[in-house]
Amino acid sequence: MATSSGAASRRQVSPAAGTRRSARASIRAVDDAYAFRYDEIASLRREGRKVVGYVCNYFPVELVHALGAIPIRLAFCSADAMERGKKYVGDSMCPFTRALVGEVTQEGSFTNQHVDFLSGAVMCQQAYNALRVLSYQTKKPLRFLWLPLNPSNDEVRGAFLHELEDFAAELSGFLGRTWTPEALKESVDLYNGIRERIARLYALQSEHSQPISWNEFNRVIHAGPFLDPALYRTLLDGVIGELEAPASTGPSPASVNSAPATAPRVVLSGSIVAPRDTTLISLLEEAGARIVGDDSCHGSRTFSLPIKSPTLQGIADAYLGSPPCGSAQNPDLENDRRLRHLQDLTQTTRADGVVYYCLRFCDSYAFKASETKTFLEKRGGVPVLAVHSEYGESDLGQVRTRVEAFVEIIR
Amino acid sequence: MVSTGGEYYLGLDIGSLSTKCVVIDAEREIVQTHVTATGCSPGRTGRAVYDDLLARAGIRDGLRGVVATGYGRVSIDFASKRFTEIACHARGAHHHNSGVRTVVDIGGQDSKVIKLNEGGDVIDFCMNDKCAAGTGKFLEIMAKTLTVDLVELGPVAAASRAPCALSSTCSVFAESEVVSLLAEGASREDILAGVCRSVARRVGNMAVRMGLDGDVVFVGGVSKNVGVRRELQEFLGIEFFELPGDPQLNGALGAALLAKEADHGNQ
Repeated sequence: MATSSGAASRRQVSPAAGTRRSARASIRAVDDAYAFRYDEIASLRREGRKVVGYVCNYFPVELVHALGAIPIRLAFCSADAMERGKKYVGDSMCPFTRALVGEVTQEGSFTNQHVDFLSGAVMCQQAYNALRVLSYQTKKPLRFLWLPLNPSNDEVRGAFLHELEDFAAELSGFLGRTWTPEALKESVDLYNGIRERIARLYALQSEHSQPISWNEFNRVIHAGPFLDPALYRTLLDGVIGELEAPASTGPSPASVNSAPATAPRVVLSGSIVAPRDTTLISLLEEAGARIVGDDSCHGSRTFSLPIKSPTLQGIADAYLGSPPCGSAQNPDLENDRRLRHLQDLTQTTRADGVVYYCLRFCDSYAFKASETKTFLEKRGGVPVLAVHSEYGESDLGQVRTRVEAFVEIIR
Repeated sequence: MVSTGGEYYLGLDIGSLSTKCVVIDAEREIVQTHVTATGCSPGRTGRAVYDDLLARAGIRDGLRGVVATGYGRVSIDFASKRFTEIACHARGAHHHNSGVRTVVDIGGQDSKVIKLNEGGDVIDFCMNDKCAAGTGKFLEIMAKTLTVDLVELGPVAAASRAPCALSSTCSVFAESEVVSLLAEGASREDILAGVCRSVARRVGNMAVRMGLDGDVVFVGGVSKNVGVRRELQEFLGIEFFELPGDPQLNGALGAALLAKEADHGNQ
């Protein structure tokens, strides 16, 4: 979600936010729905609906939805929010957690006003502690969903299911609602439908002769965890329809990022790319690269987990089976599912290179930068550039030089 | 020598502290060079250097291409092409010695280790973090603190027999550490030798992480500092391949060579 300090931030969301108005009507519809959603949520809360603000993509949104509450994902990247966050967390915390704390503690911000309940299924210590600080500072109730650090271990899967049952019961108590198997099935079907469409969008964007810019593409993908899921599913059909239409009926190439077919193909990997975190992507595209995929936890990984059965067991299996976060522990490098997933992704997208985004002080991904580079370069022959950066534009020149030099190599 | 009727290629390397310019002819021979302080306006400085060199006899009419590099490359609107300093340093070093596989560059604001293949193409690189430690800026701050002329820093440090240990890698904290060392009576030579060692270790560790192959060259403004050069060779346990000419001009030379290649590519 974009930074949202009251009315001012609402203006930031739709056409602006550092990106121009889309040439495609279906994407403008997503932007408009996003801008409208702030008022809609405020109004739904007046009618008694509760809002659950959560972090991380291991959080089972369908459970919250089945309980009649509104799940919204908390992720911010404004340099202002990051500065404000320093009041409560130190400089050596990652920019994402600083911005998270800075935004939700800000009096009058949308999330400060409208989030009733904080939650997260987190693997990294920084997100975990940031939620605790948030709960303490805002007095909002918090319930973590415990997550095993090594999700590949079969023995912990049973424990996770028990935790999910407890979590569901507690959430149910807080919201004063109970879920029925029918309601859960409806929610699971709805979110599975969204995941199928997102997967289709990623495939289209990777192969399209006139791809939209990746920042615009991200606006569509990142809108999901904030919008009403039924509306979002319909909006995605619109975007897919427009992208599938013959090129002649689409907008003129001048108004989209018409990367030539020869542009080097890049997969974006690494730390979270929060909504409106556009700098690195813009620099890559300005340098002539074409982004063809990502393994971001706010991007394709959110959607790589079809739930096979509409039960808590089905939900537990799907989330633990999804491509893991960099904070997950896997001592066996050869069978590291994160690396395997990334390698598969570079193959299906025919990537010429991988840009590994490392948010400053994101220890999990920083430690794994070297092994990711070694693994992909040795095993897949795909060059990897690790970019260490933070929110704001203080290191724009340095990042630009790295990105341009990398594009010079893979061109 | 510049001759009338020749063809020329200009490489402009606009670094954070210095702007370097090299003009080569059709035979890839250097015919003009220029080094000046970048100051606060990279665009204007680049333009002034360019105009100054063009005013010299014979170059203007024969100028076939301009390549801009360095962090100020984005401000040069008269460049026919732009490349990163990484590509330019690789090309410059390969021009002199095709056996070079590793280039260590320490400039005013960046330090880099660049790996090349047999053809002189960049295959990998690594750069310092967003921090002045391990760069020319750090040396500049230390020279100022110790009231030594920047060009004298290396020779003075070379006279030291017992370099001081600087524990901090942060330029700001290192400055206060230096003040404490002075108060304790440490000599300027020893402190400066410690400063050179700190830069060499910082960049040396980066080079070790990247792995050293083939001939290794040391370029960029700081490569002219004998103290850092000695410490870096000692730390890495190697002797650098000595490039003919000024190693500070290597990036600008590479830019000029790339300008020539681009021109031939268009023909």
